[in-house]
Amino acid sequence: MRPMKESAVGNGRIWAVGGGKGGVGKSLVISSIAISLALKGEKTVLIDADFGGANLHSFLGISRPDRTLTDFFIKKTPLAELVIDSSIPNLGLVVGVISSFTPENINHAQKQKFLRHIQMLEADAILVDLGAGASFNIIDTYLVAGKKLAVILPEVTAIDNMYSFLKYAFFRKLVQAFSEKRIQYVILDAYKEFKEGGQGNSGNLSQFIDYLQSLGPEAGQIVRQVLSDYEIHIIVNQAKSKQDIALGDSVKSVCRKYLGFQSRYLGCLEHEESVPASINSRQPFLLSNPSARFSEEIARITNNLLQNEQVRLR
Amino acid sequence: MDKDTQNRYLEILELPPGSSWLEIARSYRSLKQLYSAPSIAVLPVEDELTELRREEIIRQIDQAYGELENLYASSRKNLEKNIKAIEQEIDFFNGLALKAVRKRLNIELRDIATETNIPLSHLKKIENEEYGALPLEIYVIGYLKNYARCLSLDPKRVVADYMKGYRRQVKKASGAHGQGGTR
Repeated sequence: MRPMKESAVGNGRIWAVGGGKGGVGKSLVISSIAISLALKGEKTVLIDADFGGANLHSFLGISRPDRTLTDFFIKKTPLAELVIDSSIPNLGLVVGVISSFTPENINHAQKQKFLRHIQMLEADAILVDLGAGASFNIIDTYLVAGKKLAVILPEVTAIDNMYSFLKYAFFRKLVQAFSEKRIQYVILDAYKEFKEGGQGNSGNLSQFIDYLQSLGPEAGQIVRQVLSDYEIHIIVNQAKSKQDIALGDSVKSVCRKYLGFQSRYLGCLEHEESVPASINSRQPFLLSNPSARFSEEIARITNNLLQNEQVRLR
Repeated sequence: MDKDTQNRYLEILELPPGSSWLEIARSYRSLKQLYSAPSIAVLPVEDELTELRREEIIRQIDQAYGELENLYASSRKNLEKNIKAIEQEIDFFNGLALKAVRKRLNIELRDIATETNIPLSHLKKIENEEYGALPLEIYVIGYLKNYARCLSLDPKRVVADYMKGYRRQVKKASGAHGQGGTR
């Protein structure tokens, strides 16, 4: 296990998947995209930051490894030394926390250190599985990513969770941006006024953003900057019908009109019977079924990410 | 209508600047449906969003479409006048001529494919006159009719012209075989 060199490069290489709800397929999707990238020759590191329970190594067919993220937080081992070979060329893995180490145990300083180390990893692409939930640690890591992915099932509960997650993340980013300009009070006061003053429905983030922009040129500028940086990449998993396929575009529209930000529809993964069996037998599906529908769709999604493209249904 | 207003209306319809009329019509239809009928994409935000807001969104979509329709209608009327002129200018609607008209009308082949459900590859072959690679004549005629309609050209004339060239070529190909060449 040769430790990787640490070097400073930009965040554009960091792709994180979050989305609030467990069981939608985030781990399957992100590990498949990682394999796809590695097969294309991109030096890829996959990080399992799901503190609810590490399982990415299972997707890659790796049994219990000797180094995990716990070593980073407790033994203070540099992150680069925790990247293990996945037996797939070009793909390294940082195995997640397996013990009962909970997100609440990680303090602010540790989180900042974690983010710093991620950004210093030497790789063409760094993929992070954030798991379910919307804690500050998860959201802050999500916000650092150059490409933010969200996976949904064609189920109203999954979509609901995703909207909540994205709203919290977006709002937190706004607050961070105002804090950086030392005018955090502006957004917090504005939010209070917005809720109480009946300027609009307090849940409608899109209207709040309009309100913020109306407060003045500096506020407007900050909001515009955040809007141009905050773009979500949507993937629909387990699509079974034409409606499910179109869901990506519908969700895109709601994000724009109701929540206020832009998103891209990367593609959908159709329901495939043999995928769960692959997961259960710990065999990477992409490797054993390179020409299956699922594998082609993953390749297309990966390509869309690399080329900054998306699905165009209309 | 100035460019900014036009782009603003396109943005409401979630389209990039320079979108074609086909794209506008399609986007309008799907957005209108999304916000008028129950959808799992909208359901989660319905609680916090009043009926008022939903109606406002529908109103915005209707208005954007209406305004763009007027804009395109007047240029479409001009287009139709132009198309009559084009139809008279062109002697023969072969693949090249069709492609030229399409480009003049600023329509992408991809749009025709999506609108008519004809595979993009077949449309390309029609324009490039790759007769040998096209499917059965009966399909080609169907494709041509749809293609012509997308361009507001007279389908009968397009089919008549194009198939002349097609049949001539196919005859030539089978004629060569008939001279005892390898099969």
